[in-house]
Amino acid sequence: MGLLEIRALKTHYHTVEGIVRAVDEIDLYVERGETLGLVGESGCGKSTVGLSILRLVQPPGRIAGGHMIFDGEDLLLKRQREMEKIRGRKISMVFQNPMSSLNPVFTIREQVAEAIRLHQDISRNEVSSMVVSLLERAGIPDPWNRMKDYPHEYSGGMRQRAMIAMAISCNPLLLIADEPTTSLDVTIQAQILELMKNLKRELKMSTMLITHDLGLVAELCDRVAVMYAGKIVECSDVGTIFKRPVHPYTEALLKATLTTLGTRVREFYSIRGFVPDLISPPRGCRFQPRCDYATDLCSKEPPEVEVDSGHRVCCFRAAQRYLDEA
Amino acid sequence: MALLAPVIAPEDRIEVDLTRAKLPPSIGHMMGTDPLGRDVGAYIIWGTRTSLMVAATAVLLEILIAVGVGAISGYYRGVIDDVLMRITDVVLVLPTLVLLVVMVSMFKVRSLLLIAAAMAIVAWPWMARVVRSEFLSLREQSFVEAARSLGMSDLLIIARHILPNALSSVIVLATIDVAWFILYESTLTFLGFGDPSAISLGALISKGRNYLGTAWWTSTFPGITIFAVTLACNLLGDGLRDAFDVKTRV
Repeated sequence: MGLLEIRALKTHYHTVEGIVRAVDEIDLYVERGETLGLVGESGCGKSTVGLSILRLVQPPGRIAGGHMIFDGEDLLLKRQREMEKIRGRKISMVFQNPMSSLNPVFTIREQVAEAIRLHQDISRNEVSSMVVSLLERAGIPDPWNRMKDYPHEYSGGMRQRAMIAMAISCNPLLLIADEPTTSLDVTIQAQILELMKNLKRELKMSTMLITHDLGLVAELCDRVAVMYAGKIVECSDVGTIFKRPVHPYTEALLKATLTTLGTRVREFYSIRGFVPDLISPPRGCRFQPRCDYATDLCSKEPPEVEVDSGHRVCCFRAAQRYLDEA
Repeated sequence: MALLAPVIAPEDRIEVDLTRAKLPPSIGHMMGTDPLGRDVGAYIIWGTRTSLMVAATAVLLEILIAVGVGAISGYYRGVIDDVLMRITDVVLVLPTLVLLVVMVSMFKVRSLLLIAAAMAIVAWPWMARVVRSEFLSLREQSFVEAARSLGMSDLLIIARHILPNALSSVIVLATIDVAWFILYESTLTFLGFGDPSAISLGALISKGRNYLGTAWWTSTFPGITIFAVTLACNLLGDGLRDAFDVKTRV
């Protein structure tokens, strides 16, 4: 069994306009040591999945049902107190905006030390050397001196490194990285990517990478889950997704990515239409209004088919083809 | 300087000595003497001490109430916030001075502590509102979310992450309030609702008022002192705010 197994997870936001079904009955699993990429466009609910796993969805959001079996225990049955012991120690998270994820009134040293002491019983003297080694691991140059700085004295990339240092301080089993490189510029993105690759090798922890950057997925992930409008539409290993996407949305997503392979980009492909309103999503397949292959059948709930071992797709067209082949 | 009162303002200076009554300012008595021969300068030093002590006590009490209410309101929001904010509104709409006079006159014994407590009670809603709004915006900051994701409890997040960030505005408000409290205390005393046995700046002004025509110095100098102390508190607030901002630290 995997490290984390999510079954029929539902997370809803109760707004004045109605219930936003940001995560609508998704199934997902993460194996020990693997990196799972969760991709999708803005507003498809992928960040909410990350927050749901840590049970950090804030009101008006609420987890409305499902199961999340982590390391043999259902996280949804835990009390907040017990969750506090899991957060940061067994599952930790790196957020999108390093510029504001550090408390401006404390030094980096104090904040990393706090993360360590929260879950580990370590004497004051030892904490300092641990902070230094963590920062070093996260690639901060001259950690002995730089740890005395305040966050505003760090650049964006350095802050993200410090955040990563805090996240790995207790050797978590699962690291959720929510768009860790989105707000950084390209060269720094590459550095952080390199850092995450190294950490993945060294620490052997599972990682859930939430992103819309397919390049990052190709570099880092073992498996990919594609999310659209609160549903997982396709899930497979990374090679298959890039070479033989089955779901029309995945296909379109890949087509919309600029590649340097072609000689010249004539026209930039974009998916027509807009992301659907999650308060009243389209009936049946949610991608149907924007899909080039949509038929009348698509207004019914699409079936989930396993087109290949470990390659699951929610689509009538895929099901049809699969049946034809079989 | 006022803290050193017992050292620099000898007791005999404020004892009654009718032979030196109502002396105008001179070298011996730089601010003159009052109708009972007491040195106004020495009296002011003692009075400032009392006034500052009352104001400081009041501010401490005020911070205690305001930060408590504001933090709970702003952090937890929801029903508890509504209830606490309606209570603050109620206190807020009552005229400050009237409420003070009523509260102080409810008690037979008027001690300085009682006056301090009464002032804290009329003043906390202002600060509570500021603390609440600080908390409301700070709780949405991503470092709070990050702290949560590291497994911190609500109490730790409030104490370690939000409060330190809200502190600078609390300090600034507190120093402004010290100035207000000195004025309130003086007003109360002037109106006759003060602690009759204590020497405060307000008491000095109120006593000297009767002699304003013949001995102007008895009221004027305490008045100037109030002005100076108030100004000093405000400047102190500005200084503290700069000192608390890590971005200006080298």
